[in-house]
Amino acid sequence: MSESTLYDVVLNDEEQYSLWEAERELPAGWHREGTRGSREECVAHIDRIWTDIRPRSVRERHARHA
Amino acid sequence: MNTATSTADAKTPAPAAETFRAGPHQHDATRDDTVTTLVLRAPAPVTGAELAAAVETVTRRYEVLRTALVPSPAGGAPTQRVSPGPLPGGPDGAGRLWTAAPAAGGRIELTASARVLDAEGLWLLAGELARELEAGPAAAAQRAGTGEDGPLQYVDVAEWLHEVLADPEAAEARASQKKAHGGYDDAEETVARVRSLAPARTASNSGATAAPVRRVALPGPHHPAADTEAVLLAAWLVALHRFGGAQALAVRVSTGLREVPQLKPVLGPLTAWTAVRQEFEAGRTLADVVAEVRTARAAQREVVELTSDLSAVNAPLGFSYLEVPERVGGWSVVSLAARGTGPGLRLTAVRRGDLVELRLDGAEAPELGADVTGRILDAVATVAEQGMREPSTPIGQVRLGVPAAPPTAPATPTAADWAEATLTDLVSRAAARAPEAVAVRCATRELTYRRLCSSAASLAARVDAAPDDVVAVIVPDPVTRLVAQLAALRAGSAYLVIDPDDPAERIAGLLADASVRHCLATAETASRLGDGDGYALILVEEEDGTGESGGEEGAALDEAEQRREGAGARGPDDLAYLLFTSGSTGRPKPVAVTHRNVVNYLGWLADAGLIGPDTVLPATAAPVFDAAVKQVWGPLVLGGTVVLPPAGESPAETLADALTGTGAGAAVTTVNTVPRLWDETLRALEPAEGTAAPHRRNLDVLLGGEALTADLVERTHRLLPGARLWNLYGPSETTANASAGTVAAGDRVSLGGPVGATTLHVLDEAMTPVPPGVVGELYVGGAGVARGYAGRGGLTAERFVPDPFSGTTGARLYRTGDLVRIGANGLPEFCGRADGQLKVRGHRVEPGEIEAVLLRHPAVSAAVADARDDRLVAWLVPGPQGPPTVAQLREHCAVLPAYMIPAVFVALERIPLTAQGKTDRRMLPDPADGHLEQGGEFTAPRTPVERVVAEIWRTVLGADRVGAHDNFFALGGDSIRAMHTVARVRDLMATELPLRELLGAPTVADQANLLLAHDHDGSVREFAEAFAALDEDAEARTTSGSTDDATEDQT
Repeated sequence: MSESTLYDVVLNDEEQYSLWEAERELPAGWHREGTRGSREECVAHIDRIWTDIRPRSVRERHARHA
Repeated sequence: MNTATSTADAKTPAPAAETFRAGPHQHDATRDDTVTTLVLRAPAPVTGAELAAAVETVTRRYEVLRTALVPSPAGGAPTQRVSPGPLPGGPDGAGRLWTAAPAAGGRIELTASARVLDAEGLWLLAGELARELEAGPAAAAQRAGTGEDGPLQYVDVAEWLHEVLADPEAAEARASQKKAHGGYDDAEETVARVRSLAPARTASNSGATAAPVRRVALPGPHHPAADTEAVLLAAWLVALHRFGGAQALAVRVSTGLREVPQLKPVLGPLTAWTAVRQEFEAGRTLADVVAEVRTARAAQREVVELTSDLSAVNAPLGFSYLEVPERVGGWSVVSLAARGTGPGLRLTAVRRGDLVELRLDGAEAPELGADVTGRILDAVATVAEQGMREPSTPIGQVRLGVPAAPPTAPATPTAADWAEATLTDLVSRAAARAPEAVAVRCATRELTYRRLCSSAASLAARVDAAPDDVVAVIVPDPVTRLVAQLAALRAGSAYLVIDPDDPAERIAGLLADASVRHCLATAETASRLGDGDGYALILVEEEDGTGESGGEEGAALDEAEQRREGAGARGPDDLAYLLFTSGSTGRPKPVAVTHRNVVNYLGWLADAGLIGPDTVLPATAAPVFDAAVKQVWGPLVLGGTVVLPPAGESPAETLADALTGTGAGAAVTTVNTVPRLWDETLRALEPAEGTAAPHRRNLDVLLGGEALTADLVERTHRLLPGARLWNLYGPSETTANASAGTVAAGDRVSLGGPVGATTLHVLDEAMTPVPPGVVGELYVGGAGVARGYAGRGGLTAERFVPDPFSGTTGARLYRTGDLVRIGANGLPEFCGRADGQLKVRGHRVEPGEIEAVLLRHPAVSAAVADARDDRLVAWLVPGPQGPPTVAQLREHCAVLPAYMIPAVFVALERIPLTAQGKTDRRMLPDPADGHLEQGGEFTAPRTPVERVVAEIWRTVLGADRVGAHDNFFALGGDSIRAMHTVARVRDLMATELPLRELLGAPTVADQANLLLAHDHDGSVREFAEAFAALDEDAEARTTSGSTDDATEDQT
């Protein structure tokens, strides 16, 4: 994990985001979001797009009962 | 064995032996006596008589072969005694320290102690013997007769080395070595960690087994010696780093003095130990370490004769590299082995051609057993091979062997039963089972379950919240606060407890960060909130436990709540609470925990027998911390009782009552606190001397939040023989605890096994599982993994990562930042932090958060925060206008919670840096040396009693100068140090000061008045006057001396 390591922005079916070392096999249930870059770049990107950390199922249930 | 010896000539009277001081490193060799064995084969068979004759000739030629070491009676350096004739063989230093003997198969075996010959010296000896045997006795006689100049003798070399070392240039070279010596503490710790991997020695496994050997193949027979040595030394360092977890290590390395050309042909002990220090920062590659080691070694060889007396021989970690020549003087070399007996652990690498043999030597090596020794050697061999094959591999990613199976636990039965329940459901169920049971007790106030639920329901009705809304609770009274927490949950939202004593600025920041929608506050706390921006303020009346029971009202409201929530509107995956934890970038992080997270944990607590209907548990943790979750909801979900210490009572008092069974403590069944506070509680109750009178309380003692020590385990069991002691581990992000275990006296302290539905993974930097014993980062998976940090997506993504080991798709692991290893018992043991996070008095503190605040002060240009002696210390570089006063800094830091305000401030000219340009925390000066002034005018203690108080503070706080108006807390005091003060007053003056009164008297003058107020029999006054008389005497005697000292300090 040197400074130059590349990461992918990844997410699971609950739309919870994380980072994963580029080119490394992803665990089941995770997908690549499409953004690739340094750790800092990926974190900054996730910070922008993932503002509500509720899992998707919880978000949808809350929306149904709002 | 037919050892070749020669008899002294009996006819002529023997000349007297001469004595000389020992060579500079000959003394070292008495402490690490390496014995080298060289086996050779001559081209033609050699008889015993022929060998004996050659030995005799060579012995006459070299004084060192006739030298014995005579120990100094005072324990200093020994003396070398050179005999005129050959010495008798013998194992002790007075006899001959080398042998040459014919061995089986026509071979010749030479052995020598490093006190007279190092390995290279042994080859020189072999060469001399070979030459003699080839030439025959006639040639020897002839040469003896020619008066040819004798060889350079070791005693002369030793004297020359002593002279060289007296040179100023040598002093300079030694100073740089001395720097490398720093950091042996880490080496001691590393040896201790490696040693503790071995199973305890028993009669059945203590028998000698063959010491394991591992081999490493080099790229070719001509691989340069300096490169090979660097690769192997780097491999040893990296393996030690991976097994011991040290971030920097110093190792002593044997260095031949024959690098100096004149010394090349000299027979003698010419090996010095020099220190090589290496730092291991994450991301560095094997190539980096090899290159650094190689450079350091090259520099050492340049000046080896200048440094050889400042020897590193006592260092606990060692390394030596030897190359075996193919032939010595026409003889072929069969084998070479070196065995060291020095302190600690040493890797001996012997190279022959393209093959290197690795062995572990040293005093600790036999203790490790074949299994651990084999694993360490495997690791060294693996790193060395990787270092040559793929040098770009980061040091933290080299795979060192077969990984340990991750400790895993299934969900417990109760947790499975509760799978779809919320915290609120569980408390309601407990209330339905036993409505009149006492749910909450606070001094004389008691709340039944019926009353708790109805009060919470009434309050909940006033909170119009949606699921996942955050309701802040800012209530000083502990009973009302608990009602408000439950009300927040009953309203379908999550609670966030805010400490009303936090500064308004911080509270406002936390409320904004947590997107708080509703605020439950008392009239008094609400007045301090300012404008309720973005949230509804709901005023709460103090819960006095009297008044209407409101049982039916509560039941009716329960139904109303259920109507409101509608079918499926709420669920266990909703948020239960938010909890702020220190953030490294300067902002606290809101950890978001769901009902499912907490309920799973509570189910485990129930099945572990730690909570039940009979549980009475004092909630001594401040409600803003993670430990409060278990202390409050643990008893309440099963019908037990929470004991809330009344505002102002110190946790130490509550715990002491529980331990002795005094007052309200008599009913307590379970206590939960941090080791440090428990330690102080025990200390206050242990009799001054001898063994403690045990307390017959069958308490469950749950300790967590910081590392538990074996000493504390032992003392707990001694003082409370009936207690069941648990060690709990886990960050807030994995819900209260991730692992736990009972600890018996004498057990090795571990983090315990995983709690229900939890998995623990120890991973390297590539997220690959590491073998047992190797230090890695702990990742926690399973039902306790929290939702993340509310509103902080990036931060959540960094710490909550895809779980490649789980059977559940899309599962996440929480990356704890804690370094652990799987110990001999298969359980994880804590080894430190992967980052700078601190534990101070059990509180989790990110130094970055404090540093960020300090840097906002206009007169601070750089700042570092760290813990020393369990206190927070801030080192800062003042700006051009000079340093701020302590009072200004403390005021500036008031935006931090009290436990994060540095106790001591130290001014620096610059922040010390490591070779890699990072802050070198090891080099930060001792805070006692550089306290900033308190600011304001200094008033020396004025009365005898003030002087006594100031003296006690100097001891308890480690402060140099204490004035009458100095503040106990500003000088680094806290409740624990206040307890020390109480104990000190008791010891010195037989007077008992109540802790609470002492905490309310923060200055020396205040405490002096307090002492006088409690001086019922005059013992305080009597002691103070006696002390004053002594003090004046001492001052009179030392005045002149101290002036001189001060002058010296200035220069």
